[in-house]
Amino acid sequence: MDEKMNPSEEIYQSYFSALIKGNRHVCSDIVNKLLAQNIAIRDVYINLFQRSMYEIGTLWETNKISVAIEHVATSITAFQLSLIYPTLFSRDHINKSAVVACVANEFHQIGGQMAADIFELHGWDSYFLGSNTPVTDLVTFIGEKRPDIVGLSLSIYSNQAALLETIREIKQAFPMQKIIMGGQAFNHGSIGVAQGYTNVSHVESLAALEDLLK
Amino acid sequence: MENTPCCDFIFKSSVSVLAITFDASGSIIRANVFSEALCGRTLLGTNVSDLFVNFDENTDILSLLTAGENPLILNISTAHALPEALIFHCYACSSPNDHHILFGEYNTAEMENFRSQLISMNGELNIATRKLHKQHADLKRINEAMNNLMGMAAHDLRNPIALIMGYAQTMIDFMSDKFDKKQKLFLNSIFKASKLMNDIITDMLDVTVIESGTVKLRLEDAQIADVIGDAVETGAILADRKNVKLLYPPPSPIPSVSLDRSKIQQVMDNLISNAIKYSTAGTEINIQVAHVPDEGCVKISVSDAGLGIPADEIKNIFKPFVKLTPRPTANESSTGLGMAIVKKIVEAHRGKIWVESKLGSGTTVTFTLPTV
Repeated sequence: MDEKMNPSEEIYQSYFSALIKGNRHVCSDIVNKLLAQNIAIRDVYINLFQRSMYEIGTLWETNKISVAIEHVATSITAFQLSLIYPTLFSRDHINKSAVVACVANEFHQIGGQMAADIFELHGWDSYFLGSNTPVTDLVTFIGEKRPDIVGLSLSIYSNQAALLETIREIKQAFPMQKIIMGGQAFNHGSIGVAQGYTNVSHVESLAALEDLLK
Repeated sequence: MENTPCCDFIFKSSVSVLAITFDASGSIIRANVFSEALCGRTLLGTNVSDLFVNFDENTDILSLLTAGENPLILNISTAHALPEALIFHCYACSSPNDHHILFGEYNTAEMENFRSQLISMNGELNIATRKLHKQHADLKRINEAMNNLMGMAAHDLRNPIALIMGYAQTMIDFMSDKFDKKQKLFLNSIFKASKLMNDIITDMLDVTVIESGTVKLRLEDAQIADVIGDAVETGAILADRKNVKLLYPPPSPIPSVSLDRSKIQQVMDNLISNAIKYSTAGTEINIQVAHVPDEGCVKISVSDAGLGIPADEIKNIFKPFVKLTPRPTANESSTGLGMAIVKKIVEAHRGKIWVESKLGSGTTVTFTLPTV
């Protein structure tokens, strides 16, 4: 497949404009056209979805848009992911697996979902458990799947305690489990959860996750 | 109340509270921005009763509002044509005293719960969608691997089996004078068993080719009656051995059908040989073909007066390797793939196939082919 470079700035602005207006069909048209042009899936994820969701997040945090607009934009983005899934999941696996989850009381799941998809893009067998994952359920699932990496998503900075508890419980059950953490919360301040644990690290973006997987 | 600064604010600003003043007849004389935006139209001069979704024609909305029994939960028709329930408070004005002022507000706790549930369900739907796509891809991979394995195994087995069959046949045909009765029996058994294995391998290869989507029909416009005639001629030899009669009355003129001659021949060979297998001596097998102009197709049926199939097993007839209760009447062997292949071929021709059967009375297999 001849994969081209990023979507152009013009395309991004058209997409973002439709996204913020809640126009799902226009967004889908743009994504379908990009797929038909064989634009690399990672470029669509990083330069279209991630970038637009970060921009939406910033507008919401600075009270320039309401939470309702943010919710609709998130739903539209999640819908676009489903357009890509037939292509994404048809790739062969490389015998590595990952489990990605949002910690308890974390309801922003789109970032975690996209991280799980990036694993899949690189041939990993990835499982996404969604938002507000109870720690006990997560630990049980890790026991069943024995993944190479566990990814934890944190969007709200004040929810650190849930992240700490999750890492503690996982490490108690599986001391050698490799854990990576990511999400918007890390842009708002340092989170010293990695101290005292081996194999726990922060991955700052989807692009950084890709570098880790190469 | 209506002239207080608070009330004035509600009427003049775009605060999210519905505020309407109406007269004794219900005619709206004042409405705030929010109420008109919510209802999607100008409200001045319209009747307040018309704002509401009245589920019961006997309910007098105006009387209900002016009765003073606050709060009231009523549904209004919104700009999106969806009914919206608001909590209403209606008060009599001090002057003129036959006017009323109506306030409406959302039940914010209920709205918040609704929003929360919707977000939660949406999230779960996203996860379920992802899982479904992933499982679909996994199943597709497994199916392809199984098909490849079956194809490879069948190919590798073909040569040795052909060898066994060939040598057994040669010894039967040209060296039988060198063997005693028991040895000839052994040779025949070797030949029959190797032939069955060869048939199974051929069918397995057919299935893998069909399943992988690589089978290409060599379509030509043909007279179906001729193709069936050829199959009946071939089947007659087998039928004669078992004292079963094949009946194929000449059909009325039938338009051409676009078909792959060898594949439809394969279908007919399968259906006729099955009918013979499950028939007893002295019975008849009827083969019929007819044009059905209303349905734009040709209908071909093969009916036997044999053992029939139990009603609860008919649904399994097209499944590979499923053994049905009735067994061939002369212990003939079966690969278990014949009907599965027949169905695939018919469907590849955009036709349909079905079975009707009664235990003890016989079975009819019918399939259609679209006319050109």
